[in-house]
Amino acid sequence: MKSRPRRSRGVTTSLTVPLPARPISGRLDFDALYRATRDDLYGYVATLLRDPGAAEDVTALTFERAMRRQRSFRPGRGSERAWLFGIARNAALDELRRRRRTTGLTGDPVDDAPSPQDDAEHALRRADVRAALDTLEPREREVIALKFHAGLSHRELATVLGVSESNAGTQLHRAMKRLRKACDVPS
Amino acid sequence: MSRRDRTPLPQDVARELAALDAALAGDPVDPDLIDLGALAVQVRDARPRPDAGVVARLDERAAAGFAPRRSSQAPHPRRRLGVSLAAASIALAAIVGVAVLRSGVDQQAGIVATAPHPAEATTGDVAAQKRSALSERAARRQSAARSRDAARSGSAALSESVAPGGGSSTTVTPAPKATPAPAVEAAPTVAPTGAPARSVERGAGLHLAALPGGLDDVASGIVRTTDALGGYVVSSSVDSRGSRGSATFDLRVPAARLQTALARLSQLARVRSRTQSSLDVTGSVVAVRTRLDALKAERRGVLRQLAAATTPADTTRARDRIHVLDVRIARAQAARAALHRRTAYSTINVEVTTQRRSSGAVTTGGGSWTPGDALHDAIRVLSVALGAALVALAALLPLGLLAAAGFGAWRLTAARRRHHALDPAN
Repeated sequence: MKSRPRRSRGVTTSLTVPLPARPISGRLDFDALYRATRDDLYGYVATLLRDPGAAEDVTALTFERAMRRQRSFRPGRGSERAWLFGIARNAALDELRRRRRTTGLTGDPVDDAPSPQDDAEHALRRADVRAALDTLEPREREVIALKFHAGLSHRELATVLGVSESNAGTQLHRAMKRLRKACDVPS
Repeated sequence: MSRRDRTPLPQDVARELAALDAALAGDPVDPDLIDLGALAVQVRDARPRPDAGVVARLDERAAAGFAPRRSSQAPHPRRRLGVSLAAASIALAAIVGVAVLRSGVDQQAGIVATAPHPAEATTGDVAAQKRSALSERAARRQSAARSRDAARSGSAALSESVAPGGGSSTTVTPAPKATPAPAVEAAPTVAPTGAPARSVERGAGLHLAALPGGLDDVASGIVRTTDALGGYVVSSSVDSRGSRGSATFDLRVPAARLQTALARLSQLARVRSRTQSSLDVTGSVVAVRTRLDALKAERRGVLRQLAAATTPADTTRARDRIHVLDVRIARAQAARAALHRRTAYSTINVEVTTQRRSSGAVTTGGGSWTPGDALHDAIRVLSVALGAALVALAALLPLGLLAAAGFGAWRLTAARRRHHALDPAN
């Protein structure tokens, strides 16, 4: 006697859809923002702190805070970039204050070794510029870093510094004048 | 400087800034600013770049969602401040709320005290003691008024105040000094041995609170009770306006049944106040009786003179005298009868008013807890809660403003400290 195969019961079809590892809610495309600003942010922080190790920590801390405070971003109050560099500025200044309390701590020197793609003259000129930057006051160095290393517009610069656009332009102009003098560039 | 500063940049400054942007964008720059443009590009190229290790580590943390490090998991100072402020506010609000609610409960007890139910009073109960005190004060006022009336009539007033909550007290209210009543000392409350039986006029006042719409039933009950006890209604006045109204009754009930009458009347509606008074009229009774005996004795003597009269003139004089004595005896008998009525019947003044819903009564002698009462209680609770919230808000508002000012000052200080980090000394 043949036994009929028993019908399966309770079988359901499931569809598995891969989800992003960490879905980002809110209006920010955090991943794109990270990719677009990572190097600039590091450059700005490193210029301000003059310490590559601390710059890495502050850069990571900046993204960590930005990730946590995504909901505080208001498009009407500035661009994503300005918002992010504002966070970075606060973190960097906090780090500077912390280092002032521990005056004995010195940072790692900036690696000025030329890259294989650089020619000697280019590398030399870059070293001169960095040396000139080091002679500037911290506020001037910060303005220049925000403008040329972070790539902010004048409006974003003003947003990050918390001043008016004309004031930000004045600060930048003054810093460039000092830098030109330090670099022996005729004005 | 304000962010809203719209002061335009000087022309040469604006031109140089424009040249910087042009150079960075790779656009041509004015010949006199070529060096500036070149410097801008060199500064941009001098930007510190993260090496491969730094990039790898940052990317790794980015892939992990920049999970906070252990050191950064500690509560942020601002968050700590916020949590502390919130906890302090909640604690303060709780304290204020409890205090307000307690005062609200006491206040409510005070309201109820004006209209207590006899069954609610218990010895040792603080609320009941308050109710008793309030009721005693009201009874004392009524007793004082009665004693003043008694003093005017030259008699001592013995006033007995009975708090409806069960705590009764008897007080002797002396007559006012302006109208001293010597009978107070002459008429002790306890009759000495061999003295005539005391004649006491007793009266009572009863204030009943009827449920809205129940005034007529209470009024009918008063009349029925009075009739059933062998008394009568001297006067009554009922003023009914819809479900509300008031009524007053002047009742006479046999003195021996006064307590029974009061007990039965008290069951008709909720008792707001109850007073009792006693007026010793023994002196007046004895005086009337003595006078009456004397008049009768004199009349008997005149009758004897009339029987022995021999002349028409003596007969006429004796008859005129008898006529005068008869009138006086009649008056004395009327006075004695009046005193008898006053002592044989007690006066009960009953005042009935409709009970207001807001009086806080939940259960009364004549009603039950209805949905309307529940609604009233709910509104009452909500109003008390709203009041407590308002008080708490009033207390918290200045604290909130202080906290906001402190938070703003803290932020300003933090910002200034950050900016100091860029001072040249660093």
